[in-house]
Amino acid sequence: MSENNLLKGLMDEFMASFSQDSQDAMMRRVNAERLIRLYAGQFIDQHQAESIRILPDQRLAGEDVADFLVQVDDYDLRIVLIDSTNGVPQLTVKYIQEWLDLLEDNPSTAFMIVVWTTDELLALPFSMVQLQTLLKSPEQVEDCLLNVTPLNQLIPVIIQQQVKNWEIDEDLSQKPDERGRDCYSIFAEKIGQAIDKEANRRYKIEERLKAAQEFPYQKEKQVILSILEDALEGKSAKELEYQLTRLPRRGSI
Amino acid sequence: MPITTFEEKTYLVIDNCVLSMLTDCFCDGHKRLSGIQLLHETQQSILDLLNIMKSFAVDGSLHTTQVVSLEYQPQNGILGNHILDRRHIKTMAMQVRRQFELLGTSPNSIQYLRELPKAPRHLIHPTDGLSDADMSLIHLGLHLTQNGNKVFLLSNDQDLLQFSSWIRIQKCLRNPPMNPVNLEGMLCLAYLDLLHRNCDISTKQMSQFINYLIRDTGNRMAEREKVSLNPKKGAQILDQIAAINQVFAKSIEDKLNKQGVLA
Repeated sequence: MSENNLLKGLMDEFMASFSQDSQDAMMRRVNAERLIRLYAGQFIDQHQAESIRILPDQRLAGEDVADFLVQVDDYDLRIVLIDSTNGVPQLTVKYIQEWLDLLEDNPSTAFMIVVWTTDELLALPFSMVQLQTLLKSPEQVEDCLLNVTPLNQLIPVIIQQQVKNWEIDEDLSQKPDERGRDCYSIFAEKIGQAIDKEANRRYKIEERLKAAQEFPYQKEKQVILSILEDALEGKSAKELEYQLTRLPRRGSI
Repeated sequence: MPITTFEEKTYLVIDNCVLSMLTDCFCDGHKRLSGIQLLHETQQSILDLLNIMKSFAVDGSLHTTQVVSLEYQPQNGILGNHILDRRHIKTMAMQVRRQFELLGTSPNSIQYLRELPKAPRHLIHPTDGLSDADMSLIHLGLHLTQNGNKVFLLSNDQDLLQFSSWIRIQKCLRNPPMNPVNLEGMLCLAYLDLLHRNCDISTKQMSQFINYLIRDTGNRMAEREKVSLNPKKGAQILDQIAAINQVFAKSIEDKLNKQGVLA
């Protein structure tokens, strides 16, 4: 266990003991925080491609409204915990204005996710539009609560909704090899031009000239193109990274 | 309204890392002593604190498992740096172990916990996850929930505490009279601070625990980084230390309020 985590964990439990008014409420919050970290950790492990981070939400100015900040690529989600004494989610309108303010102040925040400290961590996401609607029509709060979902099911759905699905031309999608070859030939041509340009550079300093003459440009080109070929064949980013980092700095292959 | 009193008595299950921390912390507190005197004072301080904890236990006892109890080796910490007769250290270990009600755990029950459906893989992994000793504490905690009271599992191991939070909501374990919802994992120092706010531990002693934890954290991290902490990690730790000191100051204020000193 990281020692740093121990300090962080102690801080969380101390804070829970100050923010909650009973021992039971304190433990509900502590358990909910641990489970949020656990589910977030599992989700992050399963989605290595997206850059997802979960942090405590500490604002530089103003009141701390949310408890966690989940950063996903170029947007984020904020999680706020609400204590539930009887396992049933309840919501009062008093929070809505401050959540709305938070979303207005932070345009990168896509949703405010409200999580109740129930066993399943029942949760409900709110966009700015939804919060504005609730503020105008508070009677709709009860209806909203019918849509609560366990947090570990909700987060993947929200993240999936935010992913842009590109429409691919049917003709192109049916001819992947042709597309691949096009991409390869364009890249090969461009890198060839770049390498030729580099090889024909003129140097005033003799050492540099000598180094440029000895540099195996053609071999470098072959290696880079073979890596591109592997990429087009679907090799994983990790394998490609390994191949690329094996490129010698001085070009001696 | 901050929590300043214990609302109910609970069963207490203690992890070995708690005993190791207390041993090192008290040993550090008595560092002006040496040899057998140091050992006796450290032992006495541990026994005194365990007695306070017992008074908050619903059955007046502290619980652990046989396998965890055997992990307690006082010489593995600061005491190991002192020249002491091995027999004295062994006697101290036995004295401390004697404070606990012990439960034996079968390998099957531990395996059962590891094979629970959808259990977090990184926590149940046999080599990289929780050890069999850790799992035995979960088993003991679940076993004690059969008596109907809450069970506090005190540890400093965040993975174990995270697993306890996960296990308590598993519906497949809700076989009356066993009730996993009654199992609550808690950081030992957070529990001790509740005792402190309840006026059962002196502020001096509590600040000794916190200062020890802070120093120990710094030392371990510096050791891990070999030469010195990298500035980013160092700054992060300093922030946390400042924050902990700040909340501890609030804890002291609550205690004084409770005593009527600030009223």
